[in-house]
Amino acid sequence: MRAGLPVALGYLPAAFAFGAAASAIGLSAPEVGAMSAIVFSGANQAFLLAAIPAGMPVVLMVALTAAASLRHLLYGLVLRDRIGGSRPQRAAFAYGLTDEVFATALAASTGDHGKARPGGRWLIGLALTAWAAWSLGSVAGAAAGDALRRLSESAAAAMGFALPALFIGLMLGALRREVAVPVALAAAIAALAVLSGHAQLAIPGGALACLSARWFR
Amino acid sequence: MSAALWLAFALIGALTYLTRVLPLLSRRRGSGAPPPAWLDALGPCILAAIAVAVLLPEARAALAADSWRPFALGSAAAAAVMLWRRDAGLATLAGVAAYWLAI
Repeated sequence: MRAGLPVALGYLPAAFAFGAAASAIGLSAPEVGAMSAIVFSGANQAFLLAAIPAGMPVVLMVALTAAASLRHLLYGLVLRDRIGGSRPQRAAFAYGLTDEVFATALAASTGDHGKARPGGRWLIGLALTAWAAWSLGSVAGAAAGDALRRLSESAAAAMGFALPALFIGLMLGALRREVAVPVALAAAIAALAVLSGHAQLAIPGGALACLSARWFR
Repeated sequence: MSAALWLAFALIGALTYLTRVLPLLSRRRGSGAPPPAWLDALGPCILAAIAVAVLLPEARAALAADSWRPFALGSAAAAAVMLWRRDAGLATLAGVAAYWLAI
């Protein structure tokens, strides 16, 4: 549990902001909480916030999130030989293997405390704490978003900016020199799709830009 | 919310869990190979495409309604806080607050 605290604290602003943005597209607080508890992936849920109002077909939603989730395979491959725990304990821990939990578990397995592999109970405590913080934080954000919108008209307008602001943050956070060219290409494709009146092609079209990465490293 | 969306959430949750659990339960030793370049770039590309798909219509609407000031200040605040603290949640809250103050 204690190891999960930094992750939980780190999650609260993001969960709160996600909940507020989700309430701005018309999801209720219980719906937001259920979504967070089931999906438990900030990147996939943020993607859904953009995809749902755009009317993206469900099949495409599932396919794109599955592709984006493939990065988790790498986390598992890295952690597999570094962590302890029985198979059921590992299976429970895996439910909470997010980007931040991965980083925390990896740091614990290679930290100053010798080569002790993190045990099953520690891993489950870490994942459970992160999951609870994310789910409860997003419910609080959705409730606060709803309350603010009822408070005043200007607050309602400002809450509508939560989704654009969230993606400004997420995009800047994902920018790295190695992927700069594919990312610029993705942005250009998306802009072209929006400006030419084919907004529904913006996200899948932009995703294809990742295929250019092999030539621009 | 429609039943189709709940089904999508359940499917997405299940697929996400599979990508998280399969490597941890498999018994083969890790290959240690670096990820393929396209996979490394996929997440950032999707995020950039969504950002454009969300921001561009918003920016055009703001320009058309002559309300570009809150949009510009909110965007600048979100970007500045992200570069400063590397926390997308704080960036969102800062962007909303700046937008609200600028209305």
